[in-house]
Amino acid sequence: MAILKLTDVHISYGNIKAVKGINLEINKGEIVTLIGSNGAGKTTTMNTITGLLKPFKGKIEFKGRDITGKNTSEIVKLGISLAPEGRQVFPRMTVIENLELGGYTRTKSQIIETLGEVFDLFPRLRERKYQEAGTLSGGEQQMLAIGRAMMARPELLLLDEPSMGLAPIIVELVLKAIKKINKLGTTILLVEQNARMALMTADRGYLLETGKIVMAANADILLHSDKIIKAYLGENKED
Amino acid sequence: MLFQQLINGLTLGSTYALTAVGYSMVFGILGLVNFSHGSVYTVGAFLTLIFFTALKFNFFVSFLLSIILTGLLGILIDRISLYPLRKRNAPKVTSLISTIGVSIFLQNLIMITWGSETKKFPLVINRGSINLFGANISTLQIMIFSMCIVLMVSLNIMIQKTRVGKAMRATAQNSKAAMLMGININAIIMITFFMGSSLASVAGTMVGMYYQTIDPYIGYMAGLKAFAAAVLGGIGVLPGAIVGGLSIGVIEAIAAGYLNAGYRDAIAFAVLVLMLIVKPSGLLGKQASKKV
Ligand SMILES: Nc1ncnc2c1ncn2[C@@H]1O[C@H](COP(=O)(O)OP(=O)(O)OP(=O)(O)O)[C@@H](O)[C@H]1O
Ligand SMILES: [Mg+2]
Repeated sequence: MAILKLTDVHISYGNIKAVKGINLEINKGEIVTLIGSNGAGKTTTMNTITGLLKPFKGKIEFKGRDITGKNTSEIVKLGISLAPEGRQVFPRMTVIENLELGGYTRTKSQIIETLGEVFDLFPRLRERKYQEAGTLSGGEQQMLAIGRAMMARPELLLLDEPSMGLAPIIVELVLKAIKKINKLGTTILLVEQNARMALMTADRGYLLETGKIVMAANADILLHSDKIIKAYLGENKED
Repeated sequence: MLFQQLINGLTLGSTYALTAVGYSMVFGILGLVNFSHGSVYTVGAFLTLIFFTALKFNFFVSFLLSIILTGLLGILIDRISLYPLRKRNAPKVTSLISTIGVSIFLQNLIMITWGSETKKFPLVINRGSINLFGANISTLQIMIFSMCIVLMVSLNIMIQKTRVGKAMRATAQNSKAAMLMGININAIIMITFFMGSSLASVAGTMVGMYYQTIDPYIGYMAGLKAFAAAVLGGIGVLPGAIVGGLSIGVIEAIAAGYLNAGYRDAIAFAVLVLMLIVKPSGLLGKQASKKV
């Protein structure tokens, strides 16, 4: 059964229609990626799933339960977390305070337990526990944003461009971490600018173009589709 | 003489600090100056007086009731005058004007219901005093100062250490991200208004006790001074409110003592302007904020 299901979801900003009727399904345990060029509506979709935006039409179900139009805090409590685009860490709080806030909906002992897991995944964060988040490097902030979203122990983790602005070696580290989180039992919806990286990490993918889903298939099929190669993967299709 | 002025200044300054917190917290969370805060201070003082003199309650019961009711008034002000605007993403200036409207409304409400004349605030605390280095320090002064400081320090600890305090700071730093943590932003805003307003009631009541009179305009100057204190210390930074409030209190007391009592307000604001030219973000402010 699908853990998340979007049915004919339309989202607009005032008169501007950003998402025009998308259908999307994620099964438990999967890594699904949503790819598309700038302005396709990926962030809009992620923000709507977490309740930051409300769709004007359509239905969003999580574990068979209608969550359309619910408040973000309720949705987080139900088990969905988002590491938002642009990291959005709390700049004047320490790394550990940021992580504790990630576990805001949970008990102290649960927080301590998950804190250990996050630190094992990102040892850099453990070293910088008491540093203010605003003074971390971009890559470290990204690790913090992912770690913070993990602290809620979500069943579904949404990641919006976790590799944005990172050096290739750090990107690899972040993607490895994503796979590891998935192995530990978390379902993942990944939005990526870097289509190749995303498709190599994911099981399935959706291609979004100006607010509409134009392709949906297994990741390896998308990786070898002419359309995707031309528009998103560029020349070096051999590697 | 100097020491006496210092004591007087610290007493009033501590009440400015307590009022400044309300401005600072709301600014931190919503990014706007709540101009109705001065009137909330007046309402706080009047409520205590009404419960005490008209309804003949015990003084501490009256004080406590005023603290709670004024806190609830703060929540009501947000719900009626700010929440609907926030929901529609109105510009900050609109909300700011809305708080000015609330301020005028409250002030007039007090004048209509209790009259605009000055009311006597009965002596509640025995005005014994101690003599220290030639200065006269009354029990009431000691009580006001220590109560303000204790409240401010507890508030700071609460904001730094507790779960709700951390949620408040998170909301102030990035409200969208705070929502994504599962924080109920509306609850945090309510708590902020409740705390700021109930502290204003404490300040208003204590100043009433200190001068033994209140009138419907007390919140006007007190509100301006507290706002100045919040800005001087660095708005949005809570320890800044303490530093700003005490500084303004001491500066104006010294100005009144050495120059002319008529200059006290002028000097207080002149110092504020000078300070801000030197350090625009305020004494403890970290960086210039881009909020209104
Ligand atoms: N607050 C807003 N007000 C008006 N239009 C918006 C707003 N946010 C996004 N849009 C528009 O909605 C469309 C989708 O934006 P969205 O941020 O979802 O794109 P995206 O797929 O995440 O792009 P990117 O890869 O650049 O992050 C764009 O055309 C954008 O201009
Ligand atoms: Mg985006």
